[in-house]
Amino acid sequence: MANSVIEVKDLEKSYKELKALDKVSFEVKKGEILGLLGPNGSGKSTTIGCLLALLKFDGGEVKVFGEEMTPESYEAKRKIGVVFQDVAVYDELTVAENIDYFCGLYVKNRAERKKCVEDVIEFVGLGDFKKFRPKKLSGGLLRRLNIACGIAHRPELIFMDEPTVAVDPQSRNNILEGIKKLNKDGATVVYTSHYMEEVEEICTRIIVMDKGRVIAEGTADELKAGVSIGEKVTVEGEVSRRVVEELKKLKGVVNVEVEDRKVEVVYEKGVSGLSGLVAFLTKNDVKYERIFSELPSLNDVFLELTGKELRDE
Amino acid sequence: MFRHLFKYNLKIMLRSKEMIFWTLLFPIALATFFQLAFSGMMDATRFDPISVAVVEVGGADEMFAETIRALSAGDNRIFELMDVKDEAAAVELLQEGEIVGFFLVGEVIEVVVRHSGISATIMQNVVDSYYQTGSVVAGILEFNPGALNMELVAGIHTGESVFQDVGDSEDADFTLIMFYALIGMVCLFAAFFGLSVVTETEANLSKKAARMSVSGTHKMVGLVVGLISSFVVAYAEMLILLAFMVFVLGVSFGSQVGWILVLSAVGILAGIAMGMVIGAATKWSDNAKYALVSNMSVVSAFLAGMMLWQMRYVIEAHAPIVNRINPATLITDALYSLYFFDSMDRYFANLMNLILITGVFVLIAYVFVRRKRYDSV
Ligand SMILES: Nc1ncnc2c1ncn2[C@@H]1O[C@H](COP(=O)(O)OP(=O)(O)OP(=O)(O)O)[C@@H](O)[C@H]1O
Ligand SMILES: [Mg+2]
Repeated sequence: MANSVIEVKDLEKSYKELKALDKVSFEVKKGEILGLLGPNGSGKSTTIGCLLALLKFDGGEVKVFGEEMTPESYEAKRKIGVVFQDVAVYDELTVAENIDYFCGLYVKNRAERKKCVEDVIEFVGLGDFKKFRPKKLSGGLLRRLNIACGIAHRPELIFMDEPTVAVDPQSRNNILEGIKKLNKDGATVVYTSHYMEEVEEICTRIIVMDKGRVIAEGTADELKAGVSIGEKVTVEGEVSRRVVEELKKLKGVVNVEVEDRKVEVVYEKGVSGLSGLVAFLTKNDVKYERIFSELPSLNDVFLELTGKELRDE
Repeated sequence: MFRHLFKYNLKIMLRSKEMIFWTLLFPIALATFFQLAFSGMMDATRFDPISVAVVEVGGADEMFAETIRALSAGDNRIFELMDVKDEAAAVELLQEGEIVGFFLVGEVIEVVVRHSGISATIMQNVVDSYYQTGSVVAGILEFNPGALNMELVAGIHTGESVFQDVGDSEDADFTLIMFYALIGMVCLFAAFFGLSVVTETEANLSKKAARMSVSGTHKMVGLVVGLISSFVVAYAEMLILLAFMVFVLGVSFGSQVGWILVLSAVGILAGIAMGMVIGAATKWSDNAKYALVSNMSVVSAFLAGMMLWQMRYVIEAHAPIVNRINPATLITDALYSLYFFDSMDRYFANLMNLILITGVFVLIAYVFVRRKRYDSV
């Protein structure tokens, strides 16, 4: 396809006995923010390693910018920016020097590079820390530096492998906003995470991975639409056993779960249960502190597809 | 690209305090320590010749008596040779305490003494050295008798320093071997740089390297510039150390400055290559690799005589092959031969071995660094 930036077909990769990728296929189109969502060990980083021709793989095909990706694809590599999962910077160099060093692996012209470095420092908000050594930066700032080193050369295609792990909320927002901005300025982004909220917030399309396989694919809404359950209403308060039994019999309720003083009522798809439930509780004289309703999340999608939670925190 | 990488490599290396400590400050401190420890010793003790006799029986090797005679001449002789006509006479002298022991030269050479001790050890060492160097002794003797003395005395553990006149009445002492071995160690310390270069260009060894691997720059460019930068830094440090030894500590290196510089350059290449092999071919943690580099360098220098100059002679007696392949010994021996011998043969023999070993290291390292994709990163 003409506007495909990445095409992956039947990618297979094993680490000794462990099958890390099992016939993974997907496509990334120009201008997308593609989310690779999956729990720890699902094969996200391995996928990225194969896409970048860094890892040997056992089978399948990887095309980037329409051509087979090999270690010698320098033309393509120059247009790619990579932010690895682990921070990789030189402790001996300052913030600005680190960025300049990595940017210099792509941009030869000094004046042009200077501009790139200044811009990216501004972009990730490290202006006050230019002369700092990485050891002096907080975790969040260090992550931002790591990102800056990967994108200073203004790549067309950006890989970001869990850039927000162990980051304070402020840096996290800064990073997420930054990614959106990069995308708006024309970059195609492949973003991996096991935080579904993030993926839901920024990604235009999501690929859900588990145990080295692609198990679902689509926009967040499409994915959620595929789930068989509907609204989930949570009641916090003293709910008697009898009431719980009654709840189970209500129309449209598929499941009721009790945990301490919390009752979760799950409705069928398409059924809106909140108002009916409030009325029922009032009628039965149940005192509750809080009641709230949630639509299915990507976690539910994952739960339904794999029978386990995506969350690991 | 070269300029960019070179500039940053230098910055990174020169700012890495630990690296500079081990490769520059530590050797300077060690050299200073050697100097302080030995300066007193050198002047204080002169060597008292050991009274010995030589008894030749049937089938005797005449060269040996000749050698002992050579060692019993001059101001700084090792032996005081007594004339005896037969074994009985020698035994008598021995019992009277006139001689410490005698050499019984027959099919084999035996050392006969009343008490074991330093003198007995010296005698035995002379015999051992004679056996090992036998074939070359005659040659050396011809053009440089002083050298012969040095060679043989070198096999001796006296616990004291020994002086011999070499060529132009320059004072020679064996603590020089310790300084030379120290230089060998510093050459091998360049392995720290070699190790860090591979670690930072092989994607399976570090994330920084992975970054380089996925960048628009060829990994080999990074590797080669890294090695050049390493060499420049290590060699600069070596020059500082040499200058410090010569001008501050007054260590003598003889007059062949050019060949010393060539030797240390090759020695540093050997060190860098060794570091590359340890980095690329092994699968330990970074810390384990750095520990291995420092241990190998120190052990190599120890075997070359850095802490105990007699060490290499002990090895020569028991495992001579080690002395032919141990880089620090090769460096030490080459420096030593530059200083003590007029002929360059031995220097070049050592240099050749060193180049060969470096070549082997480079080949091994190359097998690993030519990979482009990795099983895992
Ligand atoms: N170098 C390796 N050697 C052996 N097994 C590995 C290696 N790297 C990854 N694996 C295994 O391969 C599987 C996929 O790992 P991968 O790192 O790709 O997952 P991930 O989705 O990126 O996980 P995370 O969220 O923890 O980063 C996991 O089971 C992991 O244990
Ligand atoms: Mg990962």
